[in-house]
Amino acid sequence: MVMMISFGSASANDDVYSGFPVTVKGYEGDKTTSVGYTGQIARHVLHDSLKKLASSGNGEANEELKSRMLSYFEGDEAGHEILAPKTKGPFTISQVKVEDISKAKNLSGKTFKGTVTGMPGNMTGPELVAFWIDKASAAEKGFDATNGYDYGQLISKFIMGAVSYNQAVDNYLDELLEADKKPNDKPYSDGAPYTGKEHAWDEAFGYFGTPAHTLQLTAKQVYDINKLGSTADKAEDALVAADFNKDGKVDLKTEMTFGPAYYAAGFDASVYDTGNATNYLHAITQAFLDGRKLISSAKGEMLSDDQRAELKDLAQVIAVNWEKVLAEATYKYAGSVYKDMTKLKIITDANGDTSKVFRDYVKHWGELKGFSLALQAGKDNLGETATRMNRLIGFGPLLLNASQVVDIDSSGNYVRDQGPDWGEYMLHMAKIQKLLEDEFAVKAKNNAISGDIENLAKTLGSGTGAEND
Amino acid sequence: MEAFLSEYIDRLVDPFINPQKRIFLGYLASALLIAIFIQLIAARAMLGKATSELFSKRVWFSESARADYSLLLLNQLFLTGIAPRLLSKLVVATLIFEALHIWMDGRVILWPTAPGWTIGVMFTLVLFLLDDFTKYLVHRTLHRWPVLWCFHKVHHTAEVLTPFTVYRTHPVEAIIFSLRSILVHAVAVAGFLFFFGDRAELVTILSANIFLFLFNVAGSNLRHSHVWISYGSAVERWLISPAQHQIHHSIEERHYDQNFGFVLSVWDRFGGSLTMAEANKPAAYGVEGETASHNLITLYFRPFREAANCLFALCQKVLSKMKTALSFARNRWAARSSALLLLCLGALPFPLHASELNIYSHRQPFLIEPFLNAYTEQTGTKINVVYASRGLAQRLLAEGDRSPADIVLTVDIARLYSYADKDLLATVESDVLRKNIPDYLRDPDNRWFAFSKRARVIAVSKKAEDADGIGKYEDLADPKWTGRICVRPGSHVYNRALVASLLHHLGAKEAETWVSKLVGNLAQRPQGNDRAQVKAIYEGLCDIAIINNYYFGKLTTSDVPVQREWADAVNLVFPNQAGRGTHINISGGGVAKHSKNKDEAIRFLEFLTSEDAQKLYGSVNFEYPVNPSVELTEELKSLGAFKEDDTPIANIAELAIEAQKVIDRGGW
Repeated sequence: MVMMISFGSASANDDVYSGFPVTVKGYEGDKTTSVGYTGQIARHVLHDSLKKLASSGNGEANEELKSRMLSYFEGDEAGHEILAPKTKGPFTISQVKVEDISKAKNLSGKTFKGTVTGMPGNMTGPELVAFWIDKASAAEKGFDATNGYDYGQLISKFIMGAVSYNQAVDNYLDELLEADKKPNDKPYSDGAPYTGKEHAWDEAFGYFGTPAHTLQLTAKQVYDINKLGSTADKAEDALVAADFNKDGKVDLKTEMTFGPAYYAAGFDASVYDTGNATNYLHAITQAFLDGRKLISSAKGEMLSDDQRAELKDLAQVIAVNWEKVLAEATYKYAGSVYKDMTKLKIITDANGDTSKVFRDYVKHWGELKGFSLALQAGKDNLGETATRMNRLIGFGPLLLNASQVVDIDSSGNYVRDQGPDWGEYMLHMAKIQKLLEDEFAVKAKNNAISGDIENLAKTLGSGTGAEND
Repeated sequence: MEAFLSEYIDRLVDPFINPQKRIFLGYLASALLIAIFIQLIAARAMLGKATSELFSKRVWFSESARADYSLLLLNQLFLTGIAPRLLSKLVVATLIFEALHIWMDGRVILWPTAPGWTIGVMFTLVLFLLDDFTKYLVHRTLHRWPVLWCFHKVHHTAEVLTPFTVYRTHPVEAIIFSLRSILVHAVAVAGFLFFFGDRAELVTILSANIFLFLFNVAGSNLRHSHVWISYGSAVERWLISPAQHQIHHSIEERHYDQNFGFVLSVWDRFGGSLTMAEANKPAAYGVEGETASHNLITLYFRPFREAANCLFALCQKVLSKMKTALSFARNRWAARSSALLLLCLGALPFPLHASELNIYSHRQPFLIEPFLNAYTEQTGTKINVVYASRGLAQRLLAEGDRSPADIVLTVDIARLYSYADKDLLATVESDVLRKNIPDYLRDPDNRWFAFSKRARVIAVSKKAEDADGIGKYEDLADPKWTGRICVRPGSHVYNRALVASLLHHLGAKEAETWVSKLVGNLAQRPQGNDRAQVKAIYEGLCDIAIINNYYFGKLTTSDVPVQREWADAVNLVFPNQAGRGTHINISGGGVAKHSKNKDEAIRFLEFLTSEDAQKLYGSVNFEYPVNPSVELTEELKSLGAFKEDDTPIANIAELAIEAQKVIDRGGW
């Protein structure tokens, strides 16, 4: 943060989320900026590390691995090494331990506490993750071929919604914007350099996980930063893009791209040159920046009703776009699952080796399931949409032996039954996409299953006419 | 209103500037050039005379032509209003695309190595052929069906033909044409995308289908004109010439119902309605005997009156036929009513308690409704049912003690057992249930009870003479049945319960060997339900199948004749009669743990074990009674009595997880 003060301030860099001054009345500490969201970055790092651990089992029950995973999820003790993201080639990362970012943080305390209806067993968010951790620790590289689960994907994508999205849109950008909650004329906590509203807003921004200088970058650059340069033309390019303070290293606290922003950037970059371009990343970041400026401009006074109304409008922009990103991701992976199923059918009909495509299928299904559950962790109950989506996806992928997980018994065993026909389950994927299109107006539509129908139908012209013969 | 008006203006202008439309200015110009050329060459006219004839006032301002213009203006107005309310091409295409997944059980990509342009050419050609053929078909129907002819006649009352006669159309026809086009486009788009993926692309010139572009640029507008152009017999066997279409408009009787085709004449050739141009030049155009046929009011409204008369005559004909059918239906209704009355009388011993019961049921409505009706009739208790094939346990779990459910009804012991496993069922103390249901068919803790039994039997093709020796499940592992057995997927609860019973009786090793040998004998990938296995035998795909007895019973009495033939192709074997008996599964239920109405719920369960209800299981669905004092119904006697495996059904449920592992390892 000290570095940021010297390099970036609100006045010097109008489009960077940093350097906002301390406005708390009577602050006696030595901080010169009120911006802080390291706790959220620490949680992104815990999440990335947990995902890494989820795919490190050897297929045997492994208590040590399980407790290690649980400590990244539930424990807030010191000493956690950052397992991901880690320095790769020229992409040098400043921090090595989670406590280098923030101390005493965990994920479970901030995980969606409602019942997850998309999985059996009536589990709450933290219970579900703990259940998956137990299964992942005993699976071969996080992959359960018998039941069709990829625990790394399930845990990771679910947490992206159940922690980041839920905390931001259902807590910080919702309840905490009310007048009586975390007021702006008082410090967030005793002795803090930031007001209640400043910090609430910053924490929400932290959960989005985008570099503070995102508005100076393209969506593709922000995307490449998350990939540690592996998707950029040259790995160095990603480093240069991320390294805002030009110290040759990437500071995870302010310069890194994490899950939610990575997906927003991914969709924007995928369709930037098409007629249906999206602008999720910059729209969300701009709204965060505008909101922060507004709070700062109150100079530590209580926010007026008008100011809060404006803030709520910006919060709504963030919530709507963030929701769309999760809907786009669910849409995309429904398309991936469909494509894998097309390939699997060809291979099984020819009695070929399905193992590689089946592995992809299970991975993509895990991403589909994880994102669909993430989407349901927002501030609004999705009601019928959620019910339909959960039924179409099911509790597990349709397996090659025509079975599908339908339940979990009281001992935690999966119970399977004969699932729908192959073609019918493929159709479920098309219906999920249609549902997401209707309910969330997704636009990037990666991997559209029947999207070409619209384009091809258009070329044939209007069907209505009174021409006789 | 403003939007409507601008849409209307668009619709008026569009045909002139859109190369997908017949009267696109470019096509009109090409028709004009061809016409002048023909007049100069064929008729040897001077240029001035040729053009003055083509632009003659007698043609363009005739009463007939003026009616065409008015209809064009009015029809486009009508379409502006109706088009948004018509079926959407996109919706129909999507529906077809989805249905193809079910028909083909997945996605099929044909010719994956073909270059994109080949698929594009194929798509364009298929679309053109489909379009041309359906136009012929619709056109033919408009002439041949009297009701439709009333409307199409409007087009034929033109006595003077100009390119604008193409718009001399009744609005009802406009709807028919639009629906045809929507359907054809939807079929082509959905079909090509399904089978060829996103390689399908229309080959166009000026955004019009290349074939239609060529057809139009070659003077299609002269079809509705007085310029006589014949292609000569050799070509007219394949393509409809302008002259041939003019014959179609001829007033002479010998030309009626000829040359329906649009571009190609092959359809007419196959349909026996092709007339060559040669020596057939019409003397006049129009419909013989039509009066005041250019009056707009008449053109629009007379077809309705005529069509109504037509329909009236048709209805009278149908009604007289229906009289006979109705008297037959009345008899059937009387038979059904008396059956229901008998059932209600049978339920009388149960005292009247006017209250309400909520049932969560995995059983299909038609299977349990007769029981519910009888119970309500007798006790006055209103019964509400939530049906779902899956997810009811989740729902009960989520509802917790707020759940309105009183009773859970389901099939298969493992599913029933899972309710107890999740602690969703109440313990029930009932002497009636204890007396009517043997110990091995209920929970030792009295939380769930079986109400009917179903036997897992072996269906054997009547044609397979060597299959006579099959007497037990174990026999199916014999390698002599390689490629001859059909069965649904192993993970299905019915098969899992069977494997659990084998685990119980034979032990893990033998059960696993049996599964792997059975899988080795399968004729096809396990798929479909039990009914599909019988069908597979009927179709000769295999000789032996494992099914539940009631599927066979239902096929023997099916309303669908071919299903009765499937059943007729097999004999049933009740396995292991000389030993432990045939494996059975159950349908059953229990009282929901948080029921607010437990006494009434128990009374309903007791009712299900009474003699009348127990017999109903047999007559509704070929299921065997659990109450040993109840005699088999005639339906069940026809399948045969058998010795059943009386292993406590709870033991089978406990082995389900183990059984699943055996099934997974065996690749079933």
